[in-house]
Amino acid sequence: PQELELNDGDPAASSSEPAAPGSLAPFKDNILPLEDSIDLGGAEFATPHEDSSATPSESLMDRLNDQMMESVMISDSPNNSEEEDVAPIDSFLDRGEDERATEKDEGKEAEMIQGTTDIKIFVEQQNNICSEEGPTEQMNTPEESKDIVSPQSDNESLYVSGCEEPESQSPQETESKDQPVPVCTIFSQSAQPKSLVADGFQPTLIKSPSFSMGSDGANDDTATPHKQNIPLMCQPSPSLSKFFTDNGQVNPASDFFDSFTTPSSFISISNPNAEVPPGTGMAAGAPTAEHQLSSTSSSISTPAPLPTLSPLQAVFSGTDDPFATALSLSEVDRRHDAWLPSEETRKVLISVATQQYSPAYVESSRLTMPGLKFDNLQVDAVKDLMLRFVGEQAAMKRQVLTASSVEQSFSGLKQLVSSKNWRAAVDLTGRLLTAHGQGYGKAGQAASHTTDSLQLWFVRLALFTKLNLFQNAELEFEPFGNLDQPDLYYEYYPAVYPGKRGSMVPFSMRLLHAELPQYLAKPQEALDRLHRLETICLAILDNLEKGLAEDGSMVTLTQENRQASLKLWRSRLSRVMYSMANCLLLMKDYVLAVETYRSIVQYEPQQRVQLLSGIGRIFLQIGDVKMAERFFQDVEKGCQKGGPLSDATCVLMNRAFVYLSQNNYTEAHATFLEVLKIDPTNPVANNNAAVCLLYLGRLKESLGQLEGLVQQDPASYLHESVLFNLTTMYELESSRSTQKKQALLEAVACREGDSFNTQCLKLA
Amino acid sequence: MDVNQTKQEHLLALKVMRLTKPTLFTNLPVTCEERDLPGDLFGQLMRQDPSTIKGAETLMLGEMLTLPQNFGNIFLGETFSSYISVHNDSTQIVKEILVKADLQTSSQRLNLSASNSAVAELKPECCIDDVIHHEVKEIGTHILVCAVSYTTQLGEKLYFRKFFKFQVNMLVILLLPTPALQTDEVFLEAQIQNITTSPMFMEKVSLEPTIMYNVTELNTVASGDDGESTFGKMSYLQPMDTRQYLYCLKPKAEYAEKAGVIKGVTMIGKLDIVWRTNLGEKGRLQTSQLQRMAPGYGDIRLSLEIIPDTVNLEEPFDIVCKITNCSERTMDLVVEMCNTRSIHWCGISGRQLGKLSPGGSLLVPLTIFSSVQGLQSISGLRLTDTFLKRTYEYDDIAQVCVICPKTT
Repeated sequence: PQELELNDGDPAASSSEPAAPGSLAPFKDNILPLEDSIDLGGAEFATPHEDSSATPSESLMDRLNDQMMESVMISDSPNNSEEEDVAPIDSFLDRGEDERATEKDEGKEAEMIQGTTDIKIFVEQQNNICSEEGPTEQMNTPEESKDIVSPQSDNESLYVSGCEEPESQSPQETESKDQPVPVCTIFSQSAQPKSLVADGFQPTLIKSPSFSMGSDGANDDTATPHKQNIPLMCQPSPSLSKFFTDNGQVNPASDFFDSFTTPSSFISISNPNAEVPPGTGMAAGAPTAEHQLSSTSSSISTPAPLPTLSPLQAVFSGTDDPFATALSLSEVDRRHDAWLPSEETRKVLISVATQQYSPAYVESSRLTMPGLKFDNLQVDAVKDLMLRFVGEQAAMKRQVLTASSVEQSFSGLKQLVSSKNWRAAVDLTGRLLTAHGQGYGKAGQAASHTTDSLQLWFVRLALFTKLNLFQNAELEFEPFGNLDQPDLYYEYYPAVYPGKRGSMVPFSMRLLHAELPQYLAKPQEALDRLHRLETICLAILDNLEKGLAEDGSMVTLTQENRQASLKLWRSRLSRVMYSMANCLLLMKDYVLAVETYRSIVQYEPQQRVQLLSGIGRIFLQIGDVKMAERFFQDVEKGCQKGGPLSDATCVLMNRAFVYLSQNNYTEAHATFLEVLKIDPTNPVANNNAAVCLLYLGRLKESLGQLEGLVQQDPASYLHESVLFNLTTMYELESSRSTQKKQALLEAVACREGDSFNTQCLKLA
Repeated sequence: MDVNQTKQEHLLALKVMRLTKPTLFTNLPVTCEERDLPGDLFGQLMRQDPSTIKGAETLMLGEMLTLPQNFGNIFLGETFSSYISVHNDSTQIVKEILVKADLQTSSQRLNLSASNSAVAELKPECCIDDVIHHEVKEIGTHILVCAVSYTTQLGEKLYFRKFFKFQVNMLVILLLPTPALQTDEVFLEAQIQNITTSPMFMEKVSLEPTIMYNVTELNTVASGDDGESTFGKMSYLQPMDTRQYLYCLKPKAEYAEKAGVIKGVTMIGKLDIVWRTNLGEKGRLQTSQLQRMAPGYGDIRLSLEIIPDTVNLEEPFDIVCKITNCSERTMDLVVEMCNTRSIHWCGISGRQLGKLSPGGSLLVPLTIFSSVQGLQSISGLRLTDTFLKRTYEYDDIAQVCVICPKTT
């Protein structure tokens, strides 16, 4: 009846393809002979994609085969702007259905990616492009680096501490008044009052950012006189004998003590003698006491620094009850720094303490000589994408903090981290470490360690890990060995840290070191390391329960301190167990993972609901719905009505997951909506509800919901997982997904830092 | 790609996405302590991250669902679900849209579309959505054929199709032969291998016997409801893991009588397997009827009705043999016992057992003692059919454990 003009103008396209139901009947009725329909590899089918479908039925089969071939090979999308616009696509992320057809062809490829987290691996290569400007500039030509700092240097000029010949600095200082100086706060140890200058000892760095925060007025005084510039120098640990000379006036040794022992913030303060007026708060007061204390106990063999009267006591006069504060701070130190070195390391440390031989004789293979291996990491992937897709002008508008745009100090670092500019933060740690003599190419050279330098390393390596740059982290971790070398313990530096015992390596860094191999496909090694940590945590807890100090020495702890210590070490133990469970989960050893998560409940009873729900989700992942429900029921039993809101959402969330595993997307969706009734801003429930809508065939609604969320509350919804879902739906929705993704990119560009993982936008 | 540019642009775009179950987002916890340089910063970052579990941020497995990221694999017995979206990319209203999704397998073509009626019109930027489901029942190449026909505002009828090819694989199931026993019981061992890349929970693996048999599953250590599985606490298979399931089939009483004379091929039942993978993605497979070749017993079948498992050294014990005439003729049997190095028969050798009609059986009690300790094989029984002068030898009929009793 009707004459059809088909798109390809195939004259044969006639009555067999009208736009009416059942028009495809010829296909249905024609059961294709087996060998025809699967023999797609035949060369004769490799025709172009003309869709000349409607032909007399005997040719239909041939034509069908043509099409099959074609569709597998190339896209026949009518408007495939997407495919044309997009540059070669990383095969891992291919998801367009045209590509998918090909992917199916090579079935093995299909399984390469399992979780979104896996996507991010590729960025790493970029770091290898170490720019030449990097370390050299910083280390050799201080004048150049002044640019970096100058904005802040006004009243906060900083000096590098730990100079070997402090005396020599006095003249230098005066001479160099006008010279620009690179500044590095962290290694500055003390805010030295003027009065000390006369003492023959020119203290080094004075102004620390925290001081300026804590006690502005007081510091302006102390800092300004020392604004002069000293060339950036980093020295090995000073020999402090000279600091303990004749007078009982001050305690310069404390200048070298590391400082961020105060709980509230990382404060690079150290000089107890800084003339900080009382009332400037803990930033000034607490650390003061601490350092006073550590200096009083100069003998390593008496670990609990029982204050003995010393000439240094004069220092205490200003503060109220300095002993008490000092004691409690040293307690805190001891508690946190406690660690059990290996037998071999212990021997070295004992011989150092008993002065059998000086640290200088420790073979260098037993020493830690770290150095940067990657420099100038600063690549802003978001900006790169902006340049490619939105244009230069828009790209230029993107402003992110860089390592140079913040104060070259801990507080600048903190700023970068919290604004999610982790790449810049890594760069800044690099600069600061360079200033400490552990810069690029310094691996394998003698190095001095301070609490601060190790903290910087920790931050740097932690950020590498957060950025999924695991190989980088591994490479830079390498010189640290298993974090048990003698020079990583305070006892190794009896002159610098008299009386101080324990590990300079923060516990968090040990944990990071232990966790790292699991991300590099070496989960067994990670487990081994984690078990070693667990053993030590247990041994320390055992010591505490036996009434000993953490390290097993016969020191009487007050009940209060013992409790605090037990609490700390239990929480560390549970953190290690969390890591083990996570690692086992990555290894897909679900039996042990579940067991380990369960055993954490005893240490973290307040996390019971989350842990049991998590175990339930593990069972759902395996497919064991019944066991999952059993755990979810346990959760529900533990959650009374009227309990905290989080309990109620957790219970509902679990129910929704069970519905999901029963393929009941309608109920699952309804349950996620229920969560939203009690917690309307819950991002997880919002996202999950949108995902359910897609499975219910309601793409537009789902998209609308997610888009709305991203617009209203970008802080919560510009998250990889949400954006990934959104871009996937864009791809499913229309051929113009690239434009829509670009809009997302622009939203990201306004808010996110340089650590944003752009892979989830699926643009490149 | 060049080819596409010469092609006329369609007003509608067809997109297809396989809907496997969504996955749960996993975090990468990096923490520090308050005394550390970042202070609470890392903790704060983790708490702000919407994908972490609040209150337990270090728990890696989150609650955030993410859409499937690739086609994945599909196995016989699983359900193929797919989202089909037809979007009007143009600025004009398109009319009479018909979307049809067919699945072409090596043997048939199935229509999977939920509705076969045309949509009257589709405005710009609007979609026609369909979610199709199909339980895959064949292995090999499958092709999803999506055809879209529509009419433009000018009355032009247009049509295009897209093809999506995928392979359906099968779980590896091996049925192992078990040695024929001198009893009526049949043992069946099924080996199942997970050739997927994800863990697989075996929700059900059961043997559904034919009417002739009762089945006992031998996959728990203790019998009863709370018997522990031989596979440990969790019933899941890691990728490439293989697991053996063992079943014991006993003929029902009414068939047991005939069992001795059943010959040739019998149907014993079929294996029913239900498994689940990520978030409960389900698959189900049933084998065809499993056949069993009844062991050939020859003319006479000798089985043991009673035999102790442990006996004392040099102490006589009794066994009862069942002799069944499996031939088509009547036999007249004489039993002879020949001593072996360790087994000594008591009683008279060469005893007449009398006539045995076809299909008939009789019980013969015998007494033996062993002169050697250890596991001893009972051998040396000879049956002679005096009609045909044919002798049947029975060695290694059974084993007994011979022990030395404690002397007080």
